Amino acid sequence: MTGARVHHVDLSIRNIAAAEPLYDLVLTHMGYVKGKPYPRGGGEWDLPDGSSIGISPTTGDNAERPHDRYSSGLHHLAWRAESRADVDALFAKLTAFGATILDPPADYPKYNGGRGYYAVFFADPDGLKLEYVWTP
Amino acid sequence: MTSNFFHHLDLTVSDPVKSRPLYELFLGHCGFTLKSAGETWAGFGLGDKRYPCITLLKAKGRNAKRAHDRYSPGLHHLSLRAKSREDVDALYRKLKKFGATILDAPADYPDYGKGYYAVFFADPDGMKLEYTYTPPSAEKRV
Repeated sequence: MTGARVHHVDLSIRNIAAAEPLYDLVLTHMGYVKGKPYPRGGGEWDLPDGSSIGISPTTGDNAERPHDRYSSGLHHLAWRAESRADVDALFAKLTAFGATILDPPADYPKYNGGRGYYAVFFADPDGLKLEYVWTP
Repeated sequence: MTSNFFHHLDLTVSDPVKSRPLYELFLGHCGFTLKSAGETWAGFGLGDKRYPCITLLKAKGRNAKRAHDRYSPGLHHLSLRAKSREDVDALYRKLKKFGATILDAPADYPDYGKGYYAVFFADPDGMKLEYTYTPPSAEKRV
């Protein structure tokens, strides 16, 4: 395998100031460290391996267009949790923060061939769907 | 969490059947194989592992035909990691032969980091994809 690693994912966000605290909470929980700001606003969070998540402000004619995960683009993004307890720990932080919870931590026996799938689904202020999942 | 890949990433595309060949080329170059596919989906994974995976899903609902705009809320772009500059060039040659939409041919982007070398291209919906090499020395940012 050559490139089966993410280098980075950049997301367009309507209101950086509103979204940044949530991304900071989530990504810090996962071990990312706040990195360089972007010239246009927003910035990135980095993992020690150099991969990153970036957010930058929307712009242009569709800057305010609501996100729809059923139209072309991001459907959702899921990060790997270390354990079921880790999923619960992030959920506790998300609820304390007041994040939009789409589905609280639960088992999804229909996923992963029934071998275990425990996940929390939540949304950022623009409605981008994010997931934190543990699979054995 | 120190995984260098997500657990999974799902992308919505207007037509997975139409988009599949490009993703087979790109993700195939990166080591993924097509695991399952139909009219409404295409799933890519690594070897016999179920995760990580990347899945294309067919757009639906009232905005099913809405054009992707990376400057509107959502995905701006996705970059996978190349193992060398030559690896970036190798993918670029495949993309050209395939007839993919090249946004920016392989080039150095020193503003993005020391040794940053990448090709940018688009899928049939205009979703921006990138294949990037950065040297290990440039990855000690944290």
